[in-house]
Amino acid sequence: MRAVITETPLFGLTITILAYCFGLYLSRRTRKAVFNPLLIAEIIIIAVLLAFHIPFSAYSKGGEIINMFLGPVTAMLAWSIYRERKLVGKHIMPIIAGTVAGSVASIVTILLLSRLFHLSPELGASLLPKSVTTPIAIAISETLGGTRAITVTSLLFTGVMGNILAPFMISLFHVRSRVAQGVAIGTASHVVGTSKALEMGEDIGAISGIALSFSGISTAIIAMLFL
Amino acid sequence: MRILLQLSLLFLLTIIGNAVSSVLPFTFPGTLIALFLLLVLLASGIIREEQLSESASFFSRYMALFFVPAGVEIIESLELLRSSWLSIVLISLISLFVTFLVAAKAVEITERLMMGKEREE
Repeated sequence: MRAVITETPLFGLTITILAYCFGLYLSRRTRKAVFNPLLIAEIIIIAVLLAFHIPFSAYSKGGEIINMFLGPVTAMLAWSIYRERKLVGKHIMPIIAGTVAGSVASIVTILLLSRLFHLSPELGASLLPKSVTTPIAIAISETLGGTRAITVTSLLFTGVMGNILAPFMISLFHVRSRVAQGVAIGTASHVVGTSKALEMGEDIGAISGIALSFSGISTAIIAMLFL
Repeated sequence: MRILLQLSLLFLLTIIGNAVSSVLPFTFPGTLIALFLLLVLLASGIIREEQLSESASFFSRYMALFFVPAGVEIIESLELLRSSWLSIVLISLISLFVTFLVAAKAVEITERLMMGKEREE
């Protein structure tokens, strides 16, 4: 009977959707960045798999189906960029300058630190795209030979820390321009940081959303050209 | 049927993107090629913004759901995580601060340069 339950793709699908819904519920109730729906869902699923000795291969039959949607989800970012075209047009130069400079800074820092800490090339490749939006980060990590699970883990951690620390970093670095605040949040901490930016103001949130798409694209291009 | 057509278009673009990516002489994610294709379709007016609104709002609303399985895969690399969690945490934090600082200052410098130019004109 056990195999009937876990060996169908429906198992992975159901547990993923239910765990995510619970994560959404918890994050809406508490409004705390630490209760990130993605983080909660992952912890619940991993706990269930470990507790009932369910092999990952059984889970991934359904998981792969959800994974398949990463492509369409990434493509859909084009729609968000297009919808904000007026705002993009108005601040196009600062946005490009900020996202490109930020992406270069992120890649260079991670490359240097990976060497300093003697990380394996595989681990380095997994960390490299960790500042950019998840679907693009997973694609870059796979192209560079990284482990996508490590990418997602470090990316989540970065996003949650960015969400919590954004106001602190803004005052620490004396960032007065609202465009600069939005671009910095989106470039450094992708969509999880952007949710904080939205709380700080609709304009900062929109700029942050544009910046996360732009920095994803520029990170992919830089990775393609130099790595 | 509208939503079915929207989904088919997104799937089709992803397939084309991956196909193009496989014949490129350099490595570039196919999903990003799909993103560019959709941007061209929207900018050229072949597809209108509102023709995609249902699936776009669904995907952006529940976006994180689609990342869950990739994250659960960490269960396969727990050993790696156990041995190098400290470097992962340190690298993530340091690069967060550096990226934030550089991005913010690059925007402020560009804004200042552009304002100076406007004043000259």
